Formats: sequence, structure tokens, C-alpha cells
Amino acid sequence: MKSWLSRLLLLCCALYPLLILAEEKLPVLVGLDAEFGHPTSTSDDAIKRGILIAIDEINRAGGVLGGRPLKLVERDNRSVPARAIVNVRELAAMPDLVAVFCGKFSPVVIELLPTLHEQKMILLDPWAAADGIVDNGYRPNYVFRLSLRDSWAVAVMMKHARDKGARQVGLLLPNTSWGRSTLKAVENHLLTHPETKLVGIHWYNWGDKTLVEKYSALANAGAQAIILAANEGEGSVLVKEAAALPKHERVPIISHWGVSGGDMAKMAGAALRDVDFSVVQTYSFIGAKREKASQLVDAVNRQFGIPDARHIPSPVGMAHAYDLTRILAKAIDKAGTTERAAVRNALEEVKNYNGLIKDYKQPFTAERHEALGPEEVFMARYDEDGAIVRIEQAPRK
Amino acid sequence: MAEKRIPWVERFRDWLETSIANRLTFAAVALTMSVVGVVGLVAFIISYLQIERSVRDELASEVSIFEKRLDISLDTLQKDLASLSANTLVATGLMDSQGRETYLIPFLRDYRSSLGGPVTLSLHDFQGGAIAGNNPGGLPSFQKSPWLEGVIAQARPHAEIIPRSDGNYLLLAYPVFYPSTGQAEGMLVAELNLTRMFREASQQGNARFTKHLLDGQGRHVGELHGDDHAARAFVVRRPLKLEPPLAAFGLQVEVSAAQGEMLAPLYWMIAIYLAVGGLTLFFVLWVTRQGVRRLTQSLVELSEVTEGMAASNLSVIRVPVVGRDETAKLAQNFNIMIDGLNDSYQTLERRIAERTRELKELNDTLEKRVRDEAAKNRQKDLLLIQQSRLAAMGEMIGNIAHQWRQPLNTIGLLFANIKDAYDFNEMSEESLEEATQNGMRLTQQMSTTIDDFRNFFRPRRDSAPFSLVKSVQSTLELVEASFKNNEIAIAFKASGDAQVRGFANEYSQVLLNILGNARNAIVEHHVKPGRVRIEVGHDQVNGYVVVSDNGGGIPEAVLDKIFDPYFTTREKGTGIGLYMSKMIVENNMHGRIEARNSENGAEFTVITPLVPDQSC
Repeated sequence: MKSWLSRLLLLCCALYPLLILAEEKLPVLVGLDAEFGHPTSTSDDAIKRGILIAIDEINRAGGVLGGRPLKLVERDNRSVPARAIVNVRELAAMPDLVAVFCGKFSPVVIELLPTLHEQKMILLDPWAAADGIVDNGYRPNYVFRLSLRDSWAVAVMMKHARDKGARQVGLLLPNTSWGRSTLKAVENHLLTHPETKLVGIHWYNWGDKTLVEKYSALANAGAQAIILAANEGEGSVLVKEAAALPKHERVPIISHWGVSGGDMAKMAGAALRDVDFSVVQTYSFIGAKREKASQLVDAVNRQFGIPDARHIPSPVGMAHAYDLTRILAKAIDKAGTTERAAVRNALEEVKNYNGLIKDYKQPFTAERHEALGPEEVFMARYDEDGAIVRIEQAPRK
Repeated sequence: MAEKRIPWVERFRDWLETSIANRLTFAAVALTMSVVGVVGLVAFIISYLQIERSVRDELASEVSIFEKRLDISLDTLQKDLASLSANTLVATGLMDSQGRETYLIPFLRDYRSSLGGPVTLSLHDFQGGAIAGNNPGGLPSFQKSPWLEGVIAQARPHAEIIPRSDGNYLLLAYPVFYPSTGQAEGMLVAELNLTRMFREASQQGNARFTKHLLDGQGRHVGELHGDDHAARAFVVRRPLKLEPPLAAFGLQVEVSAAQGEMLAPLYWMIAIYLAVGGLTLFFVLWVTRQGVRRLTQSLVELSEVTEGMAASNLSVIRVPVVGRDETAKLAQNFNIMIDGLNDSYQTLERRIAERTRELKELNDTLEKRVRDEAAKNRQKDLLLIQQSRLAAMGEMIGNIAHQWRQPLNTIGLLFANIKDAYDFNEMSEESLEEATQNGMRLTQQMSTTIDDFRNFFRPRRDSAPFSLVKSVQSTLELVEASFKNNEIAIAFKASGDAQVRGFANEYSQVLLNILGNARNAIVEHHVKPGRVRIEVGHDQVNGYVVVSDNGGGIPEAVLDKIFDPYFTTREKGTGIGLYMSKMIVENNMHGRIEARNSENGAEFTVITPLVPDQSC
């Protein structure tokens, strides 16, 4: 009897290191719940590419938590909040899944907020720009964004309008939380910039097949530029309709960046050349000087067959997702566990990450869950080949 | 089986049959009732049809109003829902919860259907979970509803009628398409209390009518107004012209009217008509009775007179003649007829008295006449028998002559031999002894023949059993010489002897008659060779003797007369033989004799009952 017990004890001691090793090799999961079923969206794939390139680099470097690989788990929410909620609940049920990336639709993310905090699931936002996503009132806040904020976008768009000599602007906004968030940002901006006059606000419903009446109404009301919050669907409709107007009836369209999350250049086609259309961006691989940028262009070429920086679709999504994934990996290592609460805390403590977009001294803090700042925001335009290129701006006032 | 008689029917029949007045009264009443009945029935049918048409027209008009109203209302609801579900504002509601309070819910709350009541509208996600709605009382959830997949995955509108405590609800669910994907990601659901809506709507219509909304199987899904179906109601139904998905229910509007209420004027009319008809009938009855009495008074009197005629002397009866009309003439003629009848009666009386007397006299002499006639008949029979016997005797004598011819010749030769022997001195004692012996033998033989014939004619004794075979054989012995003389061969065959009861010599007489006829036929027809075949046999009941010949047979025309008395085909025939044979076989031996033609001649069969102990 004693001999049997001693043999069993010996066997357990021998197998224990192997069990530990096997456990350490289990992948650490990262979720991505995006609008893959959305037919014209390109931001979902851009985000996915950024995450996969980052994961590839991390795993090549030994993974996280001393050797566990990172692995991406995808879910398609078709840009439907109800599906996103179902997806997040499903992802939250996976024990080694530490965080979920979202797509570009702010309303979807806003609808997700209660579920995320109920499930204590970290949300990494590489695109959705509504201020309320981060300023959600939850404590602790499980949302971390490395992207644009509507208020930053509005500031740059309004400045761009002023730079174009437009003192009177009109707003054309979606009848969604994103539109209302944009309006709030505009109203706040106008408080500090009284020289710009808001001549009118027109709301459109998501999926509307025509916007030209609202556009013309704003123009007729005196708007010298239209501040537009739209995705590629409505954006392309408006550009085509505006291009069809007589030239003297056209006014510049200064667009939020939703359009760049889809195949806007293809959908709007040649009309883009006939309309003064500019769009907010936070990053461009074209002309990027940092070494990381060229490494990513090489990687995206190698892994996804995209020839060069001009052809990277929705570049901001890829760039943001890349940096955010690298920061997450650091946080996991810092936390030393896949426990989400610990990782969430660790995200607020990651420091000194030399990323693609910039060198992050401390991407997130307990009070600040925005990794970027207004200084990253700039206006861009669609070049003839569909590439989004930076517009040389006048010095900031 | 005796016919069942019903007392009152019998009494009624008596009442009818005993009086012309009654029959006329009954006919008048029946005619009046028929006319009143037919007129009433026709009037009832026409009135009923007119009322029915009127009611149906009203119902059709009412149902048209409701049909159009419901068509418009439900179609509007469907179209509104289709339109709303395609509205980008509603689609936005699937994405954006924060703004719903400011745009979507007020929008839904403002929606009011033209159906006469608020419609509950609610927006649901792809799992049936409620997102927003216009019902302050709460939002329904359709999670795990069986039809959810059809609406979301197949983008197919769904309609359902749900019974609830406060009425039947119409549920319509339309898919809401997500603008960015074009796929159904939610649904807009409308719920409408059909019962309540129709009840409110129906108050505008004709209050006398009951209105229902029925599904394709005729089940009630919404009561518009009024009580449940009245029995024997006028009903008009019309299907609603709705687009899918409501079209699948086969909804139809039914408007009905209680028959009793609609036909009330007709019932009043019938009551009045019956009262008037009754009075008319009574009046007709009274008038008919009076008129008929006058008309039939003369007949009644005539009838009474005839009754008197039956009971009393015609000479004192007269019908009173009143007036100059047909009945007066009838009475006059009747009186003349009575006089004539009286005369005829008197004459008849006299003649009856005469005839009665004559009959009495006739009756008195009748017995004597019968006795005389019987005696005459008996005499005739005796004569006939005598004739028959004489004929038979003649026949027998002929036969004896034939029988004796041979021995007489032999005796003659014998005497000639004796004389020759004596003349030539050749006579010896031995030859004389031999001749004497031969002569004695021949005379003995002739004596036997005489005995045979004497036996035949011996007066008959009591009936006794005898053998048919022996009877045939003894008879053949009598005629054998005669047949041989005429070169007629006799074939006798007995398949078995039979004992029959009777008078053997009479039976032989029968056979002699038949055989004699056969011989005569063969001789007269010169048939060579003549053949007679005799067969004796019997079955389980009867013995029979069949005699057939080849003498040419009996003409078919006379075949059924050959047994009649005095019927003969021969010149010298008496016509008695076969008649007597038939009498002997049928009357004395209780048998029968049959005749038919065979192939070449006649065939007689004598059938007589077997002696009882021989029969089975």
C-alpha cells in the first residue's frame, strides 16, 4: 500500500512540470466583433489586419505571459447592436479571452456598453469615435480607445472650414447617437469659436437614398461648407448628388471619417473629383517616416498581398488596431494573467510603447482612456487612385 | 290479411256515401280549402321571396360597406406596416437606443390606424427582443416564437390571430431591413384587438344585423355587433380582398339577420290570411249547405219514395211533382216508371206463378224420367256389351275355324287313307289302330281348342289376381293359328311377370281386340312380312303390356277418337272393340290404355296396377 502511494506521488511530481508547460502554451484569446457582414465596410478587415500583424509580431517574439501565443477570435455583428451583444456575451464566456476589439460603428459600441461592463469585458476601440463611448460613466471603465473622438474631429473639421473661408456651416448628421455626439461636439466647439455660424442642422436617417435636398437646403440657408457625419453609403450618395448639381450650387463637404471605413472612392467614383470633399483622419501610411510604418507596409504586403501604402484600405483602422494590440500584449504581460480585471488595470499602467503612430509615454491612465490626442487629427482627401492623402494645412490658430 | 278499418274514416265514408248533399258540401269545402290553400301558399312564397331578396339586398349592402371598410382598414394596416418597416427611421431604431425616446417612440406613438382604435406597434431585434414601442403598458417579447425565423431569416411577413381574454388580436410582423446590409435584422410588430375594433366599427351600421369576421375555416375571429348566429338566419358572406400575409387567413365578413325578426311581417300576413280564410270557409260551408239542400230536396224525396217502393206496394207510391224544372220532370218520369214497373211486376208475378207450377209438375215426373233414362242407358250398355261379346265371339269363331282347319284336313286325309287302305286291302289292325289313335288325338286337340274358347267366354267371376304373362300366352294361343295363316310373326318378350288384379278373360278380350286390330291392319295394308311385338313388364307400381305392329299405324287425325264408341276406320268394323277395351281397363281394372304411332305401325300400351304385395 505504501509502495503504491509513493509511486503515484512520484508520477505526479514528474508530470507536474509538463502540465504547467502545456497550460502555458494555451493561446491567449483576443476577440474582434466587427461588421464583417457589412458589404461595403472595409474598416473591419483593416482592423483585423492590424491585429493579425501585431499578433504575428508578438507571437514571433515569444507571445505573452512567457510564451503563450495570442490568437484572434472573430465574430460578425453585421453592424447590428443586438448581434454585437450576443457576440460579446459569447466571447465573454471564453475563459482565456482577455479583450474584444470593436468595429467602426459608434452606435453599436454604445449599445454594447452595458453588456461590456456587466461582463467585465475589456473593449479596445480602434475606430468608433463617439465621445460617449469612452466618456461612458462606468467605473471602472472597461473601454480603451486608440482612435479619434468626435470632439477632436469636429475641431479639425471646423478649422478646415474656416481655413477654406467658410464662416457659415451647415450640419448634415445621421439620426443616431453618432450624429448626436457630433452635434454636441459642434455645439461645444462653437461656444469657443463664435466666428463660425451654424446656419442649420439636417438629420438624415440611416439608409436614406438621397441627401441632396438637405444638402441644398443647407447651402440655400447660407452654409459655405457642410459638416457631414456619414459612412460610405450615405457619403457616396451625397457626393454623387452634389456632383450632379450645377457647380455654383455646390459647397465643400467636410466629412467625418466614417466614409473612410468603407470603399468610398469606389462607391462615389468620378464624382469625388467634382466635389470639394475632405475627410478627417488620424494616420496615413503615405509619407510616414517611422520605421514601424514601413515594417507594417511590408507585413501587409507579405501577409495580405496589398502592394503599397496607397492601397491600404481604411488605413487608420489598421494602424490603430496594430498599436492597440501591442499595448494589450504589454498589459497582459504586465498583469501576468489573463484575468480581465487585472489586464484592464494593467492597460492603465502600460508605459513607454514606441508604436506605429507615435511613441506612447503612457497610452492610458486611470483617468484617460484615450491613447491618441487631437494633435494626431488632420484633414485628408481622396486622391485620384482612391488613396487618402493628407491635406497640407495652414498652421493652427 | 284483413284490411284495417279506422272508425272515423269509416264514419266519414258512410257520411259521404249516404248523401249527395254531403258529397257536394264536402266537394265545395275541399275546393274552397284548395283554392284558399293554393292562393295562400303562392302568396306566402312570393312574399317570402320578396322579403328574402329585400333582406339579402340589405345584407349585401351592409356587407359591402363593412367589406370595404375592413379591406381599407386592414390593407392600410398592412401597407402602413410594410412602409414603416422599410422606413429608415425604424431601421435606425435597431441600432440606436439613445435617440429612440426622442424620435422613434414618439413616431410610433403618433401612429394611429384608421381602424377605430390604437394599434400597438413595437420594434424587435433579430431575436424577438423588444427594442421600442408605442404601448405604455409594456412591450411584448417574441423571443423563441416559432415564426420568428420566418420573419428574420426568410424576411417573410407573418400574420397571426391570437385569442386573448379581451378578444382576438391580429398580430402582424414585418421584417425590418438593415440599410447597410440589406438583411432583415429586426421586425416591426403590430397588434390590434380585432374584436374591439370591429365592435366599435360596427356600431355605425344597421343595428338589426349581426356582423362577424370569419377566417377561412368559418371560425369567428371578430364579432362586429349583435348576438351570436340566430338559427335559420339570413346570411351573406364576402371575402376580404387582402394582400399577403393577411390574405392567408381567408378573412371574410359575414352579416346575418335573424329570420324570425325579418319574417315577422310575413307571419302577421299569414295569421290574417288564416283568419280570413277560415271565415271564407265557414261562409262557403253555410252557403253550400243551403244551396245543396234545395238542390237535393227532390232527390231526397225520390230516395224516400224508392225506400217506400222497396217496402210497400208499388201501386200506392207516387213522387210529389213540384214545379216544372228538371226534378219535376224527373218525378213525373219516375211516376210513369213506377206505373210501368208495377205492370211489369204484375206480369212477372203471373209468369212466375205459371213457371212455378210447371216446375212443380216437371219435378214430379223427373224421377220417373231419370229412372227411364237410366234404364235406357243400362239397356244400351248391355246391348253394347252384347254386341261386343258377339263381335268377340265372331272373332273367336273365326279363330276356331282357323284352329280347326288343320286338324280337320288331317282327319279328312286320315279318313281317305283308311278308305284307300280298305280299297286296296291294305288295312291292317295296326294301321287301323294307328289311324284311330291319330283321329282321337286330333279330335282331342280340337276339343281342347273348344275348351279354350269356352273358358274365354265363361261368365266372369269375382276379380282375382292373374299373371300378365300367362294371360298374354293364353290369348296368343287363341290367335296363333289366325296370325300364322296370315303370315304374321309374333314376337313375345317378357322382362318379368306381373300379377295384376281383375278379370283375366276380360283382359284377354282387351288383348284380343288389340291383336285383332294389328292383324287386320297388316292384312289390309298387305304388309309382308307382318310383325307383331308383345312386351310384358312392370315397374314398381304398374304392370304393362305393349303391343306394337308394322301395319302402318293410325292416322294422326283420328288417333284421339279411336277409343270413342262406334268409331271405326274399317268398313265392317263395329267401333266397339277399343271402346270396350278402354272401359274394361279403366273401369274394371283401374288402369289405362294408351295408343300412339310407332315407326311403322301402331303401339298400344295397357297399364294396370300391380297387386299390392308386388308393388314396392
